[in-house]
Amino acid sequence: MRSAQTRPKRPPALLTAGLVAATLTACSGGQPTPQPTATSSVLDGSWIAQIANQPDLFGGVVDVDSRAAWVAMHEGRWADAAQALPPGVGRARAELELAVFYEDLADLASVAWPDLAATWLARDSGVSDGPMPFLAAVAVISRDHHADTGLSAPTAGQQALLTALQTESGALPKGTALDGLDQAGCLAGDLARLSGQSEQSPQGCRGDLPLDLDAEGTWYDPLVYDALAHQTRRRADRSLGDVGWEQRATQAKPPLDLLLFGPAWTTADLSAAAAADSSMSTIGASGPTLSALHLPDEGPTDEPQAARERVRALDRELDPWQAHLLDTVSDDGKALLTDLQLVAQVRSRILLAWARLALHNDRPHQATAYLLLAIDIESARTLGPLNPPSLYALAAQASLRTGRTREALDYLSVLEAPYPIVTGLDETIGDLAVLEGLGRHGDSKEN
Amino acid sequence: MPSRPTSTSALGTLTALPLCLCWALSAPAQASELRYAEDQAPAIVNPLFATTMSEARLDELLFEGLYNDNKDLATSPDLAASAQMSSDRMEMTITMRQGVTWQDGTPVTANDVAFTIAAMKDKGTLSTEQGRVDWIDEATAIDDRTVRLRFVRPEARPEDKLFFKILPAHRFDGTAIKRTDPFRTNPIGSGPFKLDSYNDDGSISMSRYEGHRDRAGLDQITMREVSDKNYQAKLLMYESLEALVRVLPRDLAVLQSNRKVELYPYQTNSWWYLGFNLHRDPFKDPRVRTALAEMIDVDALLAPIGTGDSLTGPFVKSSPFYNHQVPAFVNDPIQVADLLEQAGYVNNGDGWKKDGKPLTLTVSAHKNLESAQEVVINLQSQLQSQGVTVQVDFLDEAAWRASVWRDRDYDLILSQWSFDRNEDIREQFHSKGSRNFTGYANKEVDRLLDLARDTMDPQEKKQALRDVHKLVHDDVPMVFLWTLDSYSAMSTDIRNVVIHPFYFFTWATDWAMQ
Repeated sequence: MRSAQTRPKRPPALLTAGLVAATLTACSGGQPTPQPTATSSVLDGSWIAQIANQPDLFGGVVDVDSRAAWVAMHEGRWADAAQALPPGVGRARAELELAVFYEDLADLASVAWPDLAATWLARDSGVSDGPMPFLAAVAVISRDHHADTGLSAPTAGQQALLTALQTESGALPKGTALDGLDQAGCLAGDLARLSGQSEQSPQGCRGDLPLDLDAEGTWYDPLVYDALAHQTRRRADRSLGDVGWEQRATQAKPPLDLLLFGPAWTTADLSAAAAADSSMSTIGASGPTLSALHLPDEGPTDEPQAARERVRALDRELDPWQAHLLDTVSDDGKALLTDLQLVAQVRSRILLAWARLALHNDRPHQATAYLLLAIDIESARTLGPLNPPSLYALAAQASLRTGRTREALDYLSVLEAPYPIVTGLDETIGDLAVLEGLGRHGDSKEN
Repeated sequence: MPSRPTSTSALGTLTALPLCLCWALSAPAQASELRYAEDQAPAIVNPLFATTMSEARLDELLFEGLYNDNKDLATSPDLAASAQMSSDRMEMTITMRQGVTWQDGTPVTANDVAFTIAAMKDKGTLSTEQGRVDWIDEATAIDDRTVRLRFVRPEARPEDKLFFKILPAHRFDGTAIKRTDPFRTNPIGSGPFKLDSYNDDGSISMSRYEGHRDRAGLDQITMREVSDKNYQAKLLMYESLEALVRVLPRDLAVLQSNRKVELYPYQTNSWWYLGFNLHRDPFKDPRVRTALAEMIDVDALLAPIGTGDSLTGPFVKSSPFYNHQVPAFVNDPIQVADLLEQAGYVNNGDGWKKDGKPLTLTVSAHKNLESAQEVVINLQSQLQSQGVTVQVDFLDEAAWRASVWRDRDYDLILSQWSFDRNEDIREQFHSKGSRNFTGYANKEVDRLLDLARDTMDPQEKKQALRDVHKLVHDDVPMVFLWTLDSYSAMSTDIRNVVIHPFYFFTWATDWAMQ
């Protein structure tokens, strides 16, 4: 976490002791205290400034519902939060976060599976007995079907995969311990059935997966995680509609529960995000508050340096503003700011939204830059307030799209324990990594 | 606290003279100069004999291969311009890039490629890189720009294996190259930087090679040996360095909160291990090795030095080859006693003894391996508390190479292997592996490693290597310890940084000073 100095500034422990350290400090003169900029005063209207100045407001939100549920919300445990919160704004927001995370996984799958199938075909390896090539074949066929380009005139390779699909659809894995894989297999079989490539669902599948391919007004890309994402998204949309968040956002005194721990600084930012993207998956990426900070844009190409400069510009606004806030609020307000790492959390979420947008805009190198600057390295192997699940799903996708297949596995490994459904995806990307390394001589060195 | 470095590094000297520090530490970099720290300076600058990561990183600046990774890690031509495969895939004819010169001005030719391959294959060369060309039967220079490679068997994508660095034939007398060849101190490459000088303080100065086709954005790069890793972060924060290759875990927090520093993951699929000398008693006996493995509390050794995953085999946990079904050794005193008693040892309260001689071992570690002293001292304490006499020995580079690599004269070593994304452990565990200095040999492991090398089925490769994981765990040629989270740190003054996940400097030509 590049912290906007949110955690108590760690004293340079290494610098405080000893003659050498003293000399070093004398040499440098230390870091100057940042001063708030003229533009950063726009942040004074944010929810963070609101609760820092009036800490009672914070208790008014979290104690009305359930403090434990809001702790889960703060830590990015969306499913726990959605389950623990009563129907209302908080729960709807948790459901939305969960839906966006599942959509991130779906996006990852939509990159991984066709990559696997395409790499497989390019290597002339044929289809082996394992389930992953088969499912990858389904993905390719489904993608082409979706684009209305494939099945009417399949290529020779696609035809081979199609044949495999038809002949092996009864041999999908069943009874396996891999829950995600089971579901993936069943979904793939159902997709094959629905698209007319096989007559029945695979054995052992319940056939009740939520495949709303024909539902009016729904967008659906038939890839494996989408079933889960789609279902979760529909629930979130319903909940958001039920609580009438849009009306609440325009109230004279908008409720804090709309914003608390979220990436939007104000309800105006929230409304702007919804207007720009009805899926609300990029809340925090833009809005009146960020516009007022006059941050540089991302440049014309996928250059990571431009992304880094943009983050540095953001930090130049956040650091002094937070320092100023810490100087002026009560001890309770200070405690909220530092203990909950509020500014760092919003910063992390903004960078996440920028990364998601960058991936949507085919800029994976910039997405990588944003994500590397977002992650809290000190606890990089665990989910938490600064490292929400989507960070790892997006980082895996960015890695995959920049050729770093093996690194994608590092990110996914963090998600495996809390989200076992990731196991199937991990196996798919693992196969891709192995496939890419076939025939290569590896290098190894000491230290 | 590790002992003071005995090298003549600038920092080692200056720490004794703190009043001089301001001058030394605030000495500005030359215009557009990147100064980076290594724990240990390369012992040799010759890609044929590179065995450490610091050597591999330096080679990446000075030398080039026929092919290399582009920024999306796809194989792309480097010294090669184009290539054609024969219909039976047994031959590849490579046309070299035009106008490339060595840093002494001599043209790079096909003959240099043929020479390099011949040198790597020459049994007189004694290079650990030999395995990287054993699939090439013959390399022939057809003319200055054309080289033909004939393979041992059909090759699907030979360009993926042609990343090794090419050497200038005109700088050698023959293909049997000795490690001591003068080239090691006066290397000439075709890479974007050329070596200018070895300096008295242990640093190495390089400058941009103006004859390179991709003009590097940096004028100079300086490698500084800072063997006491505790100082590296300070030197970066106080702008006496622009880059740290590996950040000490305990420095991550302070560097991450510094706005003038950026951290980059540099996960090289590395793992730490304790390797037994299987040619030596009592470590020939698997019961003794297993008992010792069970005595070691890996998590307790790891905790003081950083965050990471403890391991049960020769892959990191996120690897597709890691076998998650293999359990870690459990410290069960009864089982340990049983194993040692089976091996002929008794313990009457004064430590384990056989024929009256105590069970004794010496743990050797490279003195520049980060945190090694902490680990070894804690290991010594763990084993001694369970009746094993332990001595420790920290070796400098020359002693390490002699004792471990050449003479195999050690009991137990603490070290670390780093792997590129292929995680190819063949050289470490195959009975004929060039890096197998534990002396490990298991026919089934050999068969599985051969299968993993040759198969075109990823599922088969994955399963074979997961089986290898289990076998080497059970045979205990090593005690597998952990993988650490690894990051590099770079001053924000350096722009356009993208680091290669293994070789680090592959795209350093794009880097520039703010």
